[in-house]
Amino acid sequence: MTKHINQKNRLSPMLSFKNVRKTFAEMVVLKNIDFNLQGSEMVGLVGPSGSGKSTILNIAGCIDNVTAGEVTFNEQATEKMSKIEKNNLRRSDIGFIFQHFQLVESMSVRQNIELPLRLLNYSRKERKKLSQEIIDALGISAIADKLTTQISGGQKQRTAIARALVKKPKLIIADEPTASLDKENADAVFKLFKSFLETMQISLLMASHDQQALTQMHRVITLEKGEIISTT
Amino acid sequence: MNQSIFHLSLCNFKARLRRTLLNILLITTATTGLMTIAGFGLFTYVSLEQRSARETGHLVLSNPLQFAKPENRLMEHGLENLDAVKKELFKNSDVLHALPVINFQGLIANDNKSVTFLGRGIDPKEITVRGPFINLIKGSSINYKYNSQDDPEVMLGKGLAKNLSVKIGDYLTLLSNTVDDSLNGFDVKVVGISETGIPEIDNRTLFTHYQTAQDLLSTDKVNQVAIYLKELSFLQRAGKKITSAFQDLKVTYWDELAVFYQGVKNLYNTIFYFVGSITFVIIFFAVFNLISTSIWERTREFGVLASLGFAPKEIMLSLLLESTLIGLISMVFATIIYGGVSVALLFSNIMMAPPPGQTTGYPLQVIFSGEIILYIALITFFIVQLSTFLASTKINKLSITQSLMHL
Ligand SMILES: Nc1ncnc2c1ncn2[C@@H]1O[C@H](COP(=O)(O)OP(=O)(O)OP(=O)(O)O)[C@@H](O)[C@H]1O
Ligand SMILES: [Mg+2]
Repeated sequence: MTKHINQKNRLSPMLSFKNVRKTFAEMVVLKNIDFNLQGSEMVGLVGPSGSGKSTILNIAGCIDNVTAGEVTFNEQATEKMSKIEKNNLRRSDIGFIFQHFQLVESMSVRQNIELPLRLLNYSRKERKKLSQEIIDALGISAIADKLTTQISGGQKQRTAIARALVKKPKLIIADEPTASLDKENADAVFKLFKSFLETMQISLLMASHDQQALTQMHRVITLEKGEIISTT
Repeated sequence: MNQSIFHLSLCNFKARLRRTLLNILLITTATTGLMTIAGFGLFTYVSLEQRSARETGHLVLSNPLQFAKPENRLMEHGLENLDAVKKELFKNSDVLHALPVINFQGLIANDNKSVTFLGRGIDPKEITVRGPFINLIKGSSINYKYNSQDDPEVMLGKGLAKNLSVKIGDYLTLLSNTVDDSLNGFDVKVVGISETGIPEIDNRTLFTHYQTAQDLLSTDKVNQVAIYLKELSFLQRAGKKITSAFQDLKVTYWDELAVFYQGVKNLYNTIFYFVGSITFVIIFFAVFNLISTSIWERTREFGVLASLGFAPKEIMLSLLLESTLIGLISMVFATIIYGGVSVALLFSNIMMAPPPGQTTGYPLQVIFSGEIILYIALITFFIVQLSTFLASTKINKLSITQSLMHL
């Protein structure tokens, strides 16, 4: 297992949290959060339930704001971005894999996977080509034209992964992506997912309890009560 | 404009077909309801207008003093030279009929009793012109041709005939003053019994040929000439021309004489505005409720779309597009049903209750009008879009993380 990280990127991290603090109402959910994520790096987040993993992911993915501190994406402070700029950032550079997959129920598997490409105004031809490639690679061509309400959990998972990968983003944010799968399925899907990330040089920030998956991360950050207690 | 917006609308339109159909059903029903009410209202006004205009004539030509000053002597303010006046009138191509009228009163008697009457000496064509608004319930109308050698003919109102217990063919005696204040009497033959549906008229009115009335009153004047145009819509144009053609006579428009029409119209205005606004409010809330529920259900989906990079504006636009589609489909259905209802009612012969002051009802009909379709379509379209806008504004206020957690 190579843990090689591009030297150039190490100098200017892709994603950086500096002394981030987050409170909901009066409750402190994150404090003193400091970490960097380099291009092509895969970082795991572990910690008990309620320790703030999802909150970090939401902030990293620009769908939530910090209370204090600074987050930069490619050296740009996300707090200073307008809503439209954040939107465009998510549109082109960030892919999400949510805990409950969050597929669009009114669309087929294929339409879900094509959706990010549509948003980026890819031509019909390009959309078909790119989505078919990823559908084939993830082994879901048999169900590609089914509605997402008619497929199994494992198939939903693969669809969610395909949707995050298809536009080749710079960063994928994944919240317990394998939690609802049985171990065998989880290992197989994760292996496939990781090989894509490597060939496409996509960074990953993933919250997980899955030991097998965590051992394959370049680094693992452990959280407790909203604070980083160790980084390995 | 991003291509994905329209795609999203279409996907949702199709995938949630049951929801979509439910929305279309409600909006169609509401729109059809409004169109039908409006069409019925329009019919009521138009038939009321026709009825009043046909009763008096579209335009009335008279001596300027006729309606202005009481007469000292009978027919003092009458109109002279009827033939010349008619000849001049028919030079105007909008004029269909010019029918002289003499109003007079007196006593009518059988062997046993005598009662007062209000006489209307007419050109018998008037009965045909009034069409559905005066019913010949027995016998026939007065002979078109007047012949002073024949027995003078009268047609009695239903109530008056009943009061005198006459049959068709019976003879009665008509007594009235002449213009030089002596008494004159004719034996007249009852040829018909008529009904207008307005009791005050049916209980007292007697129709006879205007020349019979002229003979009875010993005059060659008439009170007025009722002018009927080829179309009621020519009223303003014809009114101006006739006014300038008859400098020393007075032209009165039908609605100035139709006090009754104005009253009923005001009453109906109140009713229709009242019913209309209540219906509008009910429809607004029903549509708003349905649309905001169907949008609210999708909150989580909007969170997902936002995380993928859809801007709130784009999501709203997609919802508005979807509503536009639903609205347009509903408008088409509503127009078809509205047309169907108006055609079906033409054949159904359902009667409405009589308007105030009348004893006969009128057929329930709905006018199919392009203007109604346009206005109602605009109104419901506005309701649908406003509801969509309000509901999506509410959702856009949530943060993405809140939307994603929504169940
Ligand atoms: N929108 C919110 N409003 C209020 N409190 C919140 C909100 N989101 C998260 N929290 C609180 O913040 C804390 C951290 O939540 P978070 O979801 O980040 O934990 P987590 O580590 O992802 O937990 P889990 O493993 O159960 O997913 C929890 O105490 C949670 O109750
Ligand atoms: Mg979590």
